[in-house]
Amino acid sequence: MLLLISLSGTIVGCSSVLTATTAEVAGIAGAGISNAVTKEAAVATGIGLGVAAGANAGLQYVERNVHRAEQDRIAEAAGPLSPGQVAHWSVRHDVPIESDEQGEVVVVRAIGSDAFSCKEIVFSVDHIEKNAPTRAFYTATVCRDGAVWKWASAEPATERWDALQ
Amino acid sequence: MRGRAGSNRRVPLGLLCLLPLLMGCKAAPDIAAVISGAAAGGATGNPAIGFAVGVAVDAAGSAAVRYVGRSRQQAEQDAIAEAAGELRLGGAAPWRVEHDIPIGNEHGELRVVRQIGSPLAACKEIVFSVDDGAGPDATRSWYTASICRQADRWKWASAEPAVERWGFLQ
Repeated sequence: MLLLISLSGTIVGCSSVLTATTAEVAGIAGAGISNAVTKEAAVATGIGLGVAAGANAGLQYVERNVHRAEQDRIAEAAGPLSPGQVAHWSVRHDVPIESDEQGEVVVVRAIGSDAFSCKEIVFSVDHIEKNAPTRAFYTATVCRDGAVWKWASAEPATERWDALQ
Repeated sequence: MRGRAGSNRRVPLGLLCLLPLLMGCKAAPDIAAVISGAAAGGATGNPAIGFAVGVAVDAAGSAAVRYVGRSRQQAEQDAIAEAAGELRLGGAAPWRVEHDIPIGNEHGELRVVRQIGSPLAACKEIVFSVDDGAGPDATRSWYTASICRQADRWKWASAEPAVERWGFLQ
């Protein structure tokens, strides 16, 4: 895990490069180790692939944690708002796999009953490009789970995954 | 040694990169990686180098396939958002996307089912169909999404699912 974190410091915000690099480093190291044990190329490669897959799973775990932090911060900012109210949100990551982000969030609709409480939100992600501020807007849903507000948008239909995986 | 192995991998990668573009087959980078890795391993007699080259080719191939796949998906989202952007509530319009490589062209119909007004942005909830086939065999699948106006144009706005629901996505 330390290796992942030290790698991430040099490659911020490019998960495909990071994914590849982590798997590559681990896989090469794995194949190198196994080559010392066996001269059989196919066996060595097999061991290398296994190590690479394990490293990749570890990286995906870290990536999910980092991304969950951003969703949590937006949900936390949106939770107390009434429809039409705007609040600021921001996230600062300890592990710099993703950029620190900030923006505003507004609640556009409350959905709920005795059993659940959810809110539809529109949020912005603000950037500075060429000295000019730009804003991208997105929609999502947050729901209250016990005492905390959490991201609630479910995954897209599998028919629409195409390029997602 | 690695430099020589590195230059070996360009040829099969270049050729095999065309496969996924035409077939949407995500296994192509793996195939390229296995072929390149085996070739490099055979040339150097060192399985670790063969593996290293294979992984590098796999990474480059995967990144390329993902980039192309996402660009095409984004083009489709942009086409739908553009068609829906000017519609009023209840309005309907056809949409169509035509890629430079004429595979994966899609078309259908869309409707604006809700205007989402807020102090932050102008957004709309849309329902769109993806139509397939013609005549009696025609099929129509319906989906929902949301779009928002960014600066001077309408863009897809549906955010990613909750991390807890990613499952096999990633």
